[in-house]
Amino acid sequence: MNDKLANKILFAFILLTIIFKIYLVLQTPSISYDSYYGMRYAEYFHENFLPMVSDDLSYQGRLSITNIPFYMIVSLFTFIIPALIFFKYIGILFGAYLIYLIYKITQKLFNNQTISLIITFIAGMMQTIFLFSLNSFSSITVFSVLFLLLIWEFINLENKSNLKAFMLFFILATIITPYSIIVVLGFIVYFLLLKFNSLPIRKSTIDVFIFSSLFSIWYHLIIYKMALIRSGPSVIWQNIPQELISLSYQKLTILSALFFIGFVPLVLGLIGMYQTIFVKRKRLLILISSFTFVFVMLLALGILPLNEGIFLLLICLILLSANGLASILEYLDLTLFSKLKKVVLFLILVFVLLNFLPIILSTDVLTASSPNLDELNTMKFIQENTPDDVTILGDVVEGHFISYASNRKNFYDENFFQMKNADQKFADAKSIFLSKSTVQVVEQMKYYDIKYIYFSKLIFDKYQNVNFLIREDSCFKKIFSTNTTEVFELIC
Amino acid sequence: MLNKSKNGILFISILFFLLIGVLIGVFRTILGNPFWIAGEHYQYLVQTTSNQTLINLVYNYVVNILPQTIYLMPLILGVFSIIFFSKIAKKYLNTDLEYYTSLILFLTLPVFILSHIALSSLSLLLILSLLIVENYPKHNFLFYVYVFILSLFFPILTILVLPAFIYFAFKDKSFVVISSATIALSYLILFFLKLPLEYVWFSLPQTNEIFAFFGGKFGYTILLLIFGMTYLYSEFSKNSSFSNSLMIFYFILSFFNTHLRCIMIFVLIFFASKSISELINKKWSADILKYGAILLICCILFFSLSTAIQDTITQTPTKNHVDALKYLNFIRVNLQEGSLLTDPNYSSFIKYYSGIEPYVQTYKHEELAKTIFYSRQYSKIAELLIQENIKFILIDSQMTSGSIWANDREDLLFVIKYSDNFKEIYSKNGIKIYYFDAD
Repeated sequence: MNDKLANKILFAFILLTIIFKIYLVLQTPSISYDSYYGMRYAEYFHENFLPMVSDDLSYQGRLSITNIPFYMIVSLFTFIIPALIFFKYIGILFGAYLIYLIYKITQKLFNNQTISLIITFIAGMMQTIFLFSLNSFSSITVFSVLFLLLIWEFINLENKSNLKAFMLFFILATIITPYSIIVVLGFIVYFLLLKFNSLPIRKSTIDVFIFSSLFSIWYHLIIYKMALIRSGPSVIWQNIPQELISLSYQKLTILSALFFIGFVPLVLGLIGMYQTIFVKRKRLLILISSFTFVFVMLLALGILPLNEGIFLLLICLILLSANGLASILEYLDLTLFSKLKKVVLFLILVFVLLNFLPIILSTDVLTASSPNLDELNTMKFIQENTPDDVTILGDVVEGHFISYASNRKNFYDENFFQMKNADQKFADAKSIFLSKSTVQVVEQMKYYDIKYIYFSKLIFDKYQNVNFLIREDSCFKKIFSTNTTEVFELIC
Repeated sequence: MLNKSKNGILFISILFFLLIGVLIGVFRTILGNPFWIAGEHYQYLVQTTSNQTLINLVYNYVVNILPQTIYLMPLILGVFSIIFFSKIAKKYLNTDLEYYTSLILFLTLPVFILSHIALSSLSLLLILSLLIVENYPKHNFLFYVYVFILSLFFPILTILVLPAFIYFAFKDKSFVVISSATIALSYLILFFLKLPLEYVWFSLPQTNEIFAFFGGKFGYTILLLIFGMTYLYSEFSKNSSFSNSLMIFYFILSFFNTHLRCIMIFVLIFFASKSISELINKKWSADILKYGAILLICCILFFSLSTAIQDTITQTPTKNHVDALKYLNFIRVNLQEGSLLTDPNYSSFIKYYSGIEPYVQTYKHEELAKTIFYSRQYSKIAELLIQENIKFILIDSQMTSGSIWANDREDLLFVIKYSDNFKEIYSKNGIKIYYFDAD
C-alpha cells in the first residue's frame, strides 16, 4: 500500500468518525453533567477575568482550587468559541487527533501502513475511546493527547528540539492534571525493564526523568500541600465518599478488563508486550509496556479511577497491539499458513466491528450522561420561580448542572476534593431521599437549609422501586413536573 | 582561603538560623499567639507530679534555677549543633559542593527548626549525637562521657544504636567493652533512681508522622527521601555490605521511633548532599535541564522551609486558646476538681495556662478519649467521665472540622447539645469549654 492511499484511508476514517460523533452529539440538547462545571468556570472567568476560587453555588458555597490552570486555559478558548459549542465539540477534535497520533506512532515503529491502519481502525472503533470525550471535555482528554505526544517526542529524545518539546508537554501535562505522575512512575519501570534486558539507559532519558520528577514533585507539593497534610496518602482518592469510591475506583479484574478493553486489544496487546520485553526489546515499546504495567498496577490496586485508567490503559494496549499484530503476521509468514494472514486481519476487523455494534444500534448512548430537555426545562423553571439563594438537592452527579442551569446553590456535586464533610453530606442526602420519617427528613433539610428537592431520571434509576416519602408527604409540595422530572418544595 | 570562605558560610548559616528563630517569635507575637508552640516545652515549665523521665527532671531543674535560659537555651543549642555539624561535614564530605549542600539541607530541615525554637529533647539528642560522631575516631574520654549522657537521657535509642556501634568498632575490643559498660552503667543509674526509660518506646508507623510532606513535624522531607535513598540504593547496588544493610534496617526501624528517625534524618543529609552534588556535577544532555533541575531543588527546599515557618507561626496554642484556658484557671476554684479532655495534641500546654491537668497523658488515656469522643451514648460517656474524673471538655473549631470530628453535631457533640449535665462555661472565638456535672 502506498503512502498516498494510506493517508487517504486514514483521512476518510477520521472524517467518518468525526461525522458519526457529531451526529451522536446532536441527538442531545445538552453537554455531559460533569462538563457543566467548566461552563460555569468559563462564565465566571468572562465576567471577572479571575479564576473561580470562591464558588458560591457548589456545596452551598466553598473554596475551590481544583484544576485551576486547566479551567483557566479552557476559559480563554471560550472567548473565541461559545462555551457550549466548545464543550460539546472540542472533545471530538481531541479524539480525532488521538487517533491520528496512534497512527503516526505505529507508523514510526513499524513503517507498515497496513498494520498502522488496522491499529488506527481498532483505536477508533473501541467503545471506551470512542465514547470517552463525546459530548464532554475534561483534563484527562487533553492528558491522553499529551501522553501520546510525550511518547512521540521520546522517539528522538537525543535531538535537542525533541527534548525541549518533551519537557514542554510534560510541564503542560503536570499543570492540567496530576496524572503526569504516571509518566514518572512509567520511567522508573522503564529503567527496571531496561536493566532486566541488559540494555543501557540513555543519558537524555535519565536527564529528562530527573527534571520531570523534580518538576512533578514541586508542582504537586505546592498545589496539594493542604490536601496532603489533611488527608495524607488518601488524597489519591480525592475525598470521594466511600460508597462512590467502590464504584469509581473499582479494582481491575480479568473479567472487567475483558469487558472494558475488549478482546482484540487485550490479546494483541499482551502478545505485543510479551514480544517487547522478551523478544524484540525496542526501547519505545519497552517504554509503552512500562506505562501499561503502571496502569495495570494502579488499576488493580484501586488507585486510579476505573473509567480514566481503562481509557489510558487501552491507548497503551492498542500501541502494543501493533507489535502483537506484526509478530503474528511475521510468524505466519514463517509457516505454511502465510495465506491465512488476510483471514486473521479480517477476523480482527470483524471482532472490532462487533464491539462497536452497540453504539451504531443504540440511539441514546449519551442520554445517561447528559441532561435531557425535561431536565433543562425544569432548571429553567427553578431559575424563574425560586428565590436566588436557595439550595437544591438532586443527585450528586447533577450538582454542577443544577448550579449552572438554575443558577442556584447545589447541596453537593462531584468535586469532593478538599470538601469538609463530603462523606457526611453524601450520606445525609441519601437518607433524605430514602428516609421514611418525615421528622428526620424535615430536620435534616432544615439543618442544611435545603428548600427544594429535584427528582430526575438519575434519581429514579438509582432508587428503583422506592416509594419516596417526599412524593407522598404533605410537608412537601410538588411545584413542577415533567415526564421525567419533579420538583418538591419543603413547606412545613 | 578555602577555610576562610567555609568559616564565612558557617557564620552566615548561624545568622540564618537565628534570623528564622527570631522571625517565628516575632510573627507569633504580632498575631497575638504565645511565643512557644505546643510541645514538650510546656512540660518543662510546670511541675508534673509523677512518672518523670530524667530529661524532664533536668530541664525542669534548669528552668527553675535559671528562668532566663528558657528563651536562649534552644537557640544556643541550635548554634552549637550547626558548628558541630559543619565540623563533621568538613571531615566526612569530599568536596566543597557536598559541604555547602549538606549545610543548606541541614538548615532548611523542618525538624531542625522545630526542635530549636523551644526547649526540646531533640535538640539535646542532636547535639549529643553530633558530639559522639565528632569524637568517634578519637575514642577519647569525652566520647565515652557523651555516650554515657546520651544513654542516660535516651536509653531506648542507645540500645537501638548499640549494634551499629559494635559493628563499626568490631576490631577494637576495648572500645566495644567500654561503650557497653558505659551504657550498662547508665541503665543501672536509671534503675536505682527508679526513673522510667522513655514515655514512648515504639509507636505504630503513621504516614502523617513519618513524612514531613504529610504533615509530620519530625518526618523525612521529600528531598532527603529521594536523594538520600538514591545514594543509599546506588551504594547498595555497588556493594551490598553489612553497613549498607544496617542503614536500610535503621531507616525502616526509624518509622517506629521518633528519636531514631531524627538521627536518620541527619544521616540522610550526608547521603543526599552527595547525591545532589553528583547530580549537579554530572554531564547533562542539555543545560536547560541542568539549571532547571537545580532551580527545582532550590524551589522544593524553599517551599519546605517556608511551609515549616508558616505552620509554626500559626500553630496552637493561639491567643484564643490562651484566653480560654486563663479564664478556666480563673474560675476553676469555684468548681469541682478534675481533668480536662480536649484534642490530645493540646495536652502539653493545658496545665501551663489553666492549672488543670490534661486528661490525655498516656496511650491508654488516648484510647479512652477516643471512646468518649466517638460515642453517642450518654450513659457510656457519663460513666467514663466519672470513672476518669474528667470535669472539663474543651472544643475548638479545628476539632469540629476534621481533627476530631467531621462536623459540629457528631457523637459526643451531639450528646453535649442535648444533655443538661454539660454546662457551657466558656464560648468565645470558636472555643467552647463545658463543665460536666454528673449530678
